[in-house]
Amino acid sequence: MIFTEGRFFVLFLLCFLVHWGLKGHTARKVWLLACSCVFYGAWDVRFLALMFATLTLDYVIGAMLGKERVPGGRKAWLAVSLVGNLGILGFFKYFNFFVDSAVTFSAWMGLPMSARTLEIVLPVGVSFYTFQSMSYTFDVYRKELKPAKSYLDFALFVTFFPQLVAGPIVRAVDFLPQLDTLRRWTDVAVRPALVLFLVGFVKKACIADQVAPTVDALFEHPEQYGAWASWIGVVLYAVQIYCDFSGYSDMAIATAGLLGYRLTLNFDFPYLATDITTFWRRWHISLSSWFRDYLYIPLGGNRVSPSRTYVNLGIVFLLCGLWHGAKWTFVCWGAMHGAYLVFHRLWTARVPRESALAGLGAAAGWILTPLAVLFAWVVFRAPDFGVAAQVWKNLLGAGGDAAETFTWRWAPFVAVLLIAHVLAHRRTLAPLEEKAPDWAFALAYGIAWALALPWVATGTTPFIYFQF
Amino acid sequence: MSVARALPLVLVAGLGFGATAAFVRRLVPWPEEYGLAAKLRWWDEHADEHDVVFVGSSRVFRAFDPRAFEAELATQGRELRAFNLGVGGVRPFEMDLILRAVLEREPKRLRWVLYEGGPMDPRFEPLDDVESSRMVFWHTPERTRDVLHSIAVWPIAESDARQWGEKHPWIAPALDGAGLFEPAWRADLARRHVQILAWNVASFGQGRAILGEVLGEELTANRRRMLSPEELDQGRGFVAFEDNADEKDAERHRLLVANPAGFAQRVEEVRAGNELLPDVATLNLPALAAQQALVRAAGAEMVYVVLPDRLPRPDRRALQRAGKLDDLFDFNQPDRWPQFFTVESRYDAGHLSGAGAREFSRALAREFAALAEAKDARGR
Repeated sequence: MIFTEGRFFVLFLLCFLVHWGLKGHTARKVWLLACSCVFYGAWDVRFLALMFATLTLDYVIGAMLGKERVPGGRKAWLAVSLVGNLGILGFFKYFNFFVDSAVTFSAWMGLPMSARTLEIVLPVGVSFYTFQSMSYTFDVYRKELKPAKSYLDFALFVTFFPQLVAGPIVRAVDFLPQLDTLRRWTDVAVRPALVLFLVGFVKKACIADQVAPTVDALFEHPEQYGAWASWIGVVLYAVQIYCDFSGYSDMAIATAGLLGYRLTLNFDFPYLATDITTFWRRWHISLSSWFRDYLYIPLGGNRVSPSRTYVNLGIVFLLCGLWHGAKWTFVCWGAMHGAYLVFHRLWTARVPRESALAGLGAAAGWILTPLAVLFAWVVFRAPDFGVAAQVWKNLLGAGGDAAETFTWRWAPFVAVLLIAHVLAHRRTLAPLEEKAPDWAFALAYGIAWALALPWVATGTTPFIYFQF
Repeated sequence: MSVARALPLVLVAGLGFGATAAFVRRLVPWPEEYGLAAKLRWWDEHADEHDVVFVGSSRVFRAFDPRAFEAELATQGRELRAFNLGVGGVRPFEMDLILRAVLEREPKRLRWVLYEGGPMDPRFEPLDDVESSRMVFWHTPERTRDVLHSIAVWPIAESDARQWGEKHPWIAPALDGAGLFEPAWRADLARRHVQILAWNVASFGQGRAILGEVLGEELTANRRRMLSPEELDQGRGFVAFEDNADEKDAERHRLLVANPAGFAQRVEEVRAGNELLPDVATLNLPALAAQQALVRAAGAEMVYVVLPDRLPRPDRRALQRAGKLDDLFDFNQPDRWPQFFTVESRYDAGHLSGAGAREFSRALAREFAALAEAKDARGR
């Protein structure tokens, strides 16, 4: 079940009405947990068992960490959590990848070996809920958070359906306290939530899914396309992945908001960033901050020597790439971004802020940052390095004379999206939304949906980030 | 916000949605697949030049050659002009919508509507295009109402029950035990049609088609079997199968030629199946009556035509025997029309070849002339 499907609207309407109809705090939480199970079980009921195994493990370890006073004992419990969570994630997501890689590597070393891979079904959203669950254990271990008061609360924190399968990766420290108090309808910001849901829906169903066939065509047969078509295809992929993922996040935040819960911001206009560090402060914020807080800082962050900081950055981004999928192309994507960040740090460290060179660099950042991001998206999207190399060659005009192309109309389409993006960033239309009388808002909202639905790409395309 | 305050706002939003959706819906063009939109555009421009239109499916598209039909009629002393409005993949509910579009144009000379029709079967299962733009387009509120009526009277076949039971293994036995299996099957079928109606009303996914219409370009992906204005001028809606078959068609043709015994077996099945007349109460009589009344109101005569097929088609004969159809030409009778039940007359098992089409069009003209003569005599 995905947010753009008719059956989700039915489930959410039912969930919403019953949730606000119930008076008891516990009853509401039980109801939300039940709805979350239905939502997740709609993919495969078996996935529920795995998810509950993960969350039960962390709940028990959290409780043990709350009681354990001996540092060694606390470390041991943390280790159990890490082994358990990463073991589950590693088995379901990376087992075949590591086996295949080992076989390939040994063959390359001249020691051919055979190994069996397994038919493993990747549970939807496993990377998201595992990281979410692990963050709880880390926070309790660091004594930044008290253990969850009840299993119900903790289960709802992990399974809460708006953010369950594709984030934002919610921190226990942000969400568990919200479960302590009864949510009040009068506290719900209805208009922003409704607008955000519609915006997310349009991003996903009307933009990302519309451009998907063109992107797929390029990455299926890149040798058939020339430079112009490849630029269109890659720019459209940048549009697709942003609209797909941030659209999902918008809908997640909106649905949670309508139920009275607040989720963390996940995207903050990343494509308007003029340097790569800012890009990563704005792209998939919940993941990048997770890696920052639970990996980069424990590794020493930037409080160590510059060279060690660069190594830390490299480690974080290699793992960030691997988090996205069990393929070397994702690792390469992570490595590229790690290299970009190292370069940016070197630049800012070596070039004085007031110098002319720094001004030149800042101006170049307007061009270089989106270009760097685009070049990295190529390997992120490509099924293998051969395809990525061909697309890169095409972009540089070295791909040969290929006849296939895409319509020039994509260029004004992207220009319009960019203008809309800038206007949204400046909140140009926000006063209209905030000050309009209720009837005018309701009328405009109905009209907006009627104008959006014709642009839904027919056929259901799953969210890209579900695979991660 | 209280419920009392929220409800009027929900209504206002609904009004905004409904009014805008109704406006947008008017901009959605007819689907292009299989030349449907092209034929209606052509009809829009040339409707006043025609006395006869033949509305139907691919069987009509591949079998009715207006020029051969006119030439044969001319030998009988009748100078009429005809148009082939057969479109691949059309089923009876969509055919009904096309018929209405044909008559909405108020063609000045039109006196005869030849109509393939068929049983108003509300099931999806034989089709793989449940969510196609064609399927969505014909699910107007009126046609969906007809479908819902058909669902209420259509007999549930054993294969339907089995398939539905397999799709809903958790609940089917319980429903069966409670005697609710059949109502549940009907309710589920109705739910799916109503969902498609919702897509129709909201013009779901039709933005590109609308934009294409505005820009004067075809922007939708499905370009299957589009017809050019030149092709329409030349064949007046008819194209022999041999002249624009694709690979799948050619494969079906090879199968037919390679297995004449299999075809002979099919013919036997047609012969036997034609004798099994269905209960006319299951055939959505109100929709059928409305269809005929519409044609009469337009000042034309309606003649149902059953084309040579690979399956028995006893429904229209049953309707005629029950007095529900005025005029019927049934060519799906191997004994009466053996020339259309040979491998040579077919392109594939279900469609006539170019030669078969010419022969069929002449035979149809002769039948038509006789009927027109009889009607003229009655009129005198």
